[in-house]
Amino acid sequence: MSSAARTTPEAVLEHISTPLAVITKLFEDQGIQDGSDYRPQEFSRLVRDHFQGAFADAETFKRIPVFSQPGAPKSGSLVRFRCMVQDPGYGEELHLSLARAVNTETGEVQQRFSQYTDAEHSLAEGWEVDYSSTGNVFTEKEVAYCVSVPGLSPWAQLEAVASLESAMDALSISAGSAEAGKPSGAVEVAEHKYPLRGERHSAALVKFYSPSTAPKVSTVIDVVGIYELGHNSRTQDADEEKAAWPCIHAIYHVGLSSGGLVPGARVPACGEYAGLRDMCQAHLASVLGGDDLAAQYLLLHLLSRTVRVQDAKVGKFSLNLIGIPAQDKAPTEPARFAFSSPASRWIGDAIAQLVPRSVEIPFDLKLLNRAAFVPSAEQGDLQAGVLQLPADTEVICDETCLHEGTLDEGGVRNLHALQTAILSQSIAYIYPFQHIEMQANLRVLVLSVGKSILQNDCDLHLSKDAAQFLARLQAGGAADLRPLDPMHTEQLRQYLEAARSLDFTIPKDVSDGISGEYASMRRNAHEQGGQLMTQEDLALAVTVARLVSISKGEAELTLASWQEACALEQRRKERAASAKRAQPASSSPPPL
Amino acid sequence: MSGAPSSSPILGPDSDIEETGGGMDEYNTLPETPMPFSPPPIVPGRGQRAEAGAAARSGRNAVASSSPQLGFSDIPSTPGPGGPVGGMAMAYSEALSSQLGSLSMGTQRAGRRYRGDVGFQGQALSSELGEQAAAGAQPVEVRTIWGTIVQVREVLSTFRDFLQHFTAAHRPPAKHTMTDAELHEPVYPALIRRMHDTEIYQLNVDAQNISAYPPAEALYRQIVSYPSEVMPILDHVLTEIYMQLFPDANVELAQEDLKVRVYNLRTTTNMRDLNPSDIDKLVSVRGMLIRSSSVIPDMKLAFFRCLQCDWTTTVGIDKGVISEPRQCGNSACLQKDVIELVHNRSVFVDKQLARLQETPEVIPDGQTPHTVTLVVHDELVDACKAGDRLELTGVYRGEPVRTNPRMRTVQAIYRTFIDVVHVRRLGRSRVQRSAQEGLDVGEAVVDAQRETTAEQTDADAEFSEQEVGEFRRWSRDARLFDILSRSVAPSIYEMEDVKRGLLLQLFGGVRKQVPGAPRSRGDINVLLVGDPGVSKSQMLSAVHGLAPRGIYTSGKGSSAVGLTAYVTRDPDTRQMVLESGALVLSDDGVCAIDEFDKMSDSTRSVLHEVMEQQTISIAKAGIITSLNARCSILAAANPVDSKWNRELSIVENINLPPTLVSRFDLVFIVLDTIDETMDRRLARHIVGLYAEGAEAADDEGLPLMPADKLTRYIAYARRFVRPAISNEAADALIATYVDMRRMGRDASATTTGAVQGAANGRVTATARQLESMIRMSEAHARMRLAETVEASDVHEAARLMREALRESATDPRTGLIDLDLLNTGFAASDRRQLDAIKRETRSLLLGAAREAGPQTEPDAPASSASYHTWLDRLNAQSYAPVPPRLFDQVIRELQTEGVISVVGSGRNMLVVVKQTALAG
Repeated sequence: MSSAARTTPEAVLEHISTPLAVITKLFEDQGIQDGSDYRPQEFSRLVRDHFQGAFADAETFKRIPVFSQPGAPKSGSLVRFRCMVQDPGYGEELHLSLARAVNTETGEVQQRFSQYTDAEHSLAEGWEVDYSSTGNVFTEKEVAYCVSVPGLSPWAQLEAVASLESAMDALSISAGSAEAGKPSGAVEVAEHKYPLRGERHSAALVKFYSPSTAPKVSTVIDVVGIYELGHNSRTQDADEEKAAWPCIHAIYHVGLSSGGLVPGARVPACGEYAGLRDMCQAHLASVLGGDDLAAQYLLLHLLSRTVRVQDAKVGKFSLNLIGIPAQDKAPTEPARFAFSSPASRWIGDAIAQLVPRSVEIPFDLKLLNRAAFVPSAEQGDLQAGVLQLPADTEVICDETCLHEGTLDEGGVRNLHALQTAILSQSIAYIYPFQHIEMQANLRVLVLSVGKSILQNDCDLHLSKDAAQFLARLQAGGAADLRPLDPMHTEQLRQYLEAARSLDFTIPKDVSDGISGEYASMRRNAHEQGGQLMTQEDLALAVTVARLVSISKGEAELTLASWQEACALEQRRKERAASAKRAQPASSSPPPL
Repeated sequence: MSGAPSSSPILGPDSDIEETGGGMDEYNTLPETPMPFSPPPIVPGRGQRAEAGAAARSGRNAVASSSPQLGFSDIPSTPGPGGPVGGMAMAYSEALSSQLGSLSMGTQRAGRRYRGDVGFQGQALSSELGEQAAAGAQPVEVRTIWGTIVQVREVLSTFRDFLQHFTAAHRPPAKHTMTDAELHEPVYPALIRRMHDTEIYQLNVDAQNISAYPPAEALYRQIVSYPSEVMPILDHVLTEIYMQLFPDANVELAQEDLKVRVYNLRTTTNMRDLNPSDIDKLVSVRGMLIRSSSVIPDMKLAFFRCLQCDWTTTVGIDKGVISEPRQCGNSACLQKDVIELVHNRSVFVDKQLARLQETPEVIPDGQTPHTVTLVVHDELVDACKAGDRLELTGVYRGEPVRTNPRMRTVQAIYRTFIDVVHVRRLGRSRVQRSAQEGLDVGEAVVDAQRETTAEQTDADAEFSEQEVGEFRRWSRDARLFDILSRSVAPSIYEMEDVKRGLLLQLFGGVRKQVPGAPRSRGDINVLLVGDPGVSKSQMLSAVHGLAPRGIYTSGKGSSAVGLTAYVTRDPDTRQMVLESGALVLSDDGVCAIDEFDKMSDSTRSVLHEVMEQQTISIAKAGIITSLNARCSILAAANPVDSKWNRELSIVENINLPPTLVSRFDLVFIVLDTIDETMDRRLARHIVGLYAEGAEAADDEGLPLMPADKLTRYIAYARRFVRPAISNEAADALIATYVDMRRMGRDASATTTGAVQGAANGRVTATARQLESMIRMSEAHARMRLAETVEASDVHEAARLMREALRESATDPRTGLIDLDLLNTGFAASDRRQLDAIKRETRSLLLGAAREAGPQTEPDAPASSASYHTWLDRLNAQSYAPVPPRLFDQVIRELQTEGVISVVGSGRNMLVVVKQTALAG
């Protein structure tokens, strides 16, 4: 890699506008005379390192045009694309990267190099490719269908684009109609391959050159590659072959975790956690009409993350907020993946402010029946389902807009898939003759009037004040929320990401203490004929304790945190009990 | 292998080919012959079509020049290296080829033999053979196919030797019952004879046989590396030998090409690992066929006629395109645009496109399955159906994505596919073939000669020796049962017996088929009932994860259709298709059904059939069929009142018909009990899971088998171990069974007196339990990878069985085991109470009816009141409350006896006393 490329603006410009020329020059520098000298994998690595070196600096990196931005990128120019790998098995292609051409008259031999482009280059009169030559070198590439990251919050989208002006452009577009946002003019995207069908997004076929392979399905990556309008080699149909697809020939890609989407990923110092936690809790409390307990639980929910231990899934914490006012009238507009009810939207927006990715699923019958929740490859290529989401995505379900009606077979399947995702954090991708279980890591928050139809890890009744506050919102009242200043918002985002990724252990003595407490609680309950604490209750309590602990920035569970968790659980149960009392006793049990 | 061999200098293309333009530089002809050699092996993307084009072109050349050097017309008369036999073969083939030559002239097929999978053939062969003739008495030159190390003559002689002399002794199966004479009997002549009898002109040759035959070892490598060049030679040798055996079969051969189909390579390539270096090589991949196109008639030779002067010509396919001649070739005519295609004189071959998808075992965790495109030719078309698991052998190809007629470009992108040479089905198709269907030709191609390769091919294929050795080591461990049962769902604490039961279910008993009797299932069905919050569901999903094949479903959401199979209309073809539901999909596996009690009645009725007959009958939309559903069922159910009531029996506690419950081999009741030490340990276990990174170590230091290994172990045992019951075990089974039956009498004898005990009629074991015990003993032996069931297996099975029975079949009123509880839902103690209630109810009903007085119409209802009224009245006169369950049964029995009739259902049910009953 050349250090010159890193410094001079001209070199950067050259890398961006004519990357193929740069690559060809790199190839020529190798001084390869014969196909047998050519190691395509090593060369791909060399190109990768060269470009990675050239754009190592964050500022330089930002100068690469963003693919998904409006205004078609020029074919053959360098683009970057923050995307989710929707279908990694879009096919494999062989690439004649080094061809030997022979002049039929003179017998002269020439090498033709081609990489990172699908274009056929024509030969001059009298020249032909010698297909039988051993000097021809084939390389392999994997094609993946990539789409914009679903549910990316507006602020995280802004972070992805280059400069202020383009950021403004992006904003104005997203404010406009869905049709206006087609990425590059005439190019159509396949609607069925985006999880949130009907929502604005961009998509491209990304080609990964060996030795890079297509990343796993549903991961989020930043791809840097050469844009080209190419063809889809997958289809056998001649007509479809002619349709041009946006392609990105990946030079390099980096995987992004959820934290990678938050700008300035700064890890708070140990002492800062407590303050940040209080700030976050206060903010959430003001969102929820001053309900302190609900705010705490919402915070814990936002911090949750599923970890696999042996065959168990530990740490999942789906939350059901009960007491959100119902939406009276069925929405008239076509069902979209956005909340229409003011109260739900209020909560949804507040969460989107804090986490980089959140998806809103209104439980509208039409949408439940029509949308596919589970990805399916029954028809050939993998069609996306609503639940095909990258790990750590917040999924907010609004049950308040559910009205009486028929849930057809598709709807039942969808709800079942969502329920499975909540309970076992796995999603079965449907492939012909087999279902493939993919590990999901979704945080599900259900907003409902009464207890949700979905079974969640934790149900929480909102306080009366909170319910009234939200009811006012629903009725059209304005909320007097003191907006957070941008710096604080940014801090909270960093806090959430940092705390979530904390390592966590439970020391032996605390573990013994918990065990003893559990055993004695059960004994007492049995003696007094009360409700027994079950394994599941215990597991939930430990989960809460873990979340309480990391919310304070502690990597080790202390008995204090455990007691705090128990107290929280106690308050939650009391609320549930009082809510039950408040309701008139349900009708007598049905007869035999 | 690169570069031209020294003995054959490269010449420029000859004039005829130049005229057709393009692609000729692939062919390097020898000076002695005008026929081009087969193209070199590394011609990705152009392989097949280019060859086809070349052959067609040269074919045209041949027709135009009326060259006698066609097909096999120049087989030399020099004696072959195989001695007198080979010489005879040569003589025969000479006879054949001359005949062929004349035939081919007549049909203008010109003796070219086209094989879809390896392309046109006979080119290299005939030229080389021509070469031999030309060489005559001169010292034999070493000739190789250009760009390869293949020496045609050597391949000819080696393969001929192999076909004639290979015997089973060269590669003796590990276990066989063959006599010495049979071992040394050549294998292939017999198969060739069968080929003649069945008129299926395919010879499946096990590649491992070739590699096991010492003189042919190099041939194996050549076949794998240069299939397009070597396979035609093999075909030729086969034809020779066939002709030698059946000299009269000439006529058929003109239509039917003899084909050698090589299979069972030493290594199977993972679909993901196919890479550019495999191009044009013979590869073997495994997977599941997920879709196949309809048969495509692929025109390989077009026949054109001039409308003006009836001049005719043929044009071969060139890079997927047949170019129509623009001008009449008759020099007297030379009209333009008057050429017409004559369809019925063109030559078509069958072709089919299909897709093969990776099977779940080989997909790395968290990744999506890969697929590869297949091109299936000729006899193999439609030989397998979507859903079949296949191992196929074929040539890996690359082909330019866009076929550009303009030649002067570098076509950069190639798509890959496999030209299928041989298909082998792994395991059986799930959909039961109806008896009359039999084998069609395609299947016969696949199935022919399967038995010759015996089981060893299957055995070694999926499990490496090393792995099997490891399994054997595990199986000898005395703590095996403990280790394995702990490895089932290690995150779930304790529940040892349940885990053991589930483990036995995973291994399964042996399926038995006694002639003349219905087949008896080997699958063990398990029901878990218990308090909420005792991780029943986790247990289910753990088993589902371990089972070689299985479906996890919930009784709540699934209709009968979802569990069984349903008929839909295919959106593309508008044809009716049968889609499998959970039960059919878990054929030969475990179907885990959560919330079993929430299942609708219609679904349950389906389960009755599945659990005993192991089939599902479908009669929908004109499709009447019976599908195999040989699956074990693992069900979990919650008690009716959400919490288990110790005062009630199992039938009262769960809302399931006893007929269904009795079909479970093991019923475990998992209760949430209070035990301080246990609670403490359980809590520590759960908390331990949260301590990230720390593996929860087993208390007793038992090693745990990782889940993936356990899955493999189970798959291995299920596939290869079929334990038989030893005499000793049979005695143990009988003794245990008798013990269990006697248990009822003895136990009650001590409590209520011997005489009454017998009269009690408690049943402690039935034939069903005996069958279950056999299955479980077999499963236990299978777990040990043992071929015989021993007494120890029986004891463990019986212990587990008693354990399960003690919990599930105990009559809570007497504390005794009573299997009638499971079989009919009523224990002996219930029965006595039932009779009393029935007596009272009858008198109550009849009394009430008599009071109402006789009515004029004989059949009119005498008296009627709602169900609940009667129950209340009965309760009013009884000293103890009448259980609604028993009352329900009484009403049902009275109805059957014709005393009453019941109108309506549920709350509005009316009980009507019949007039006829009053009269009696």
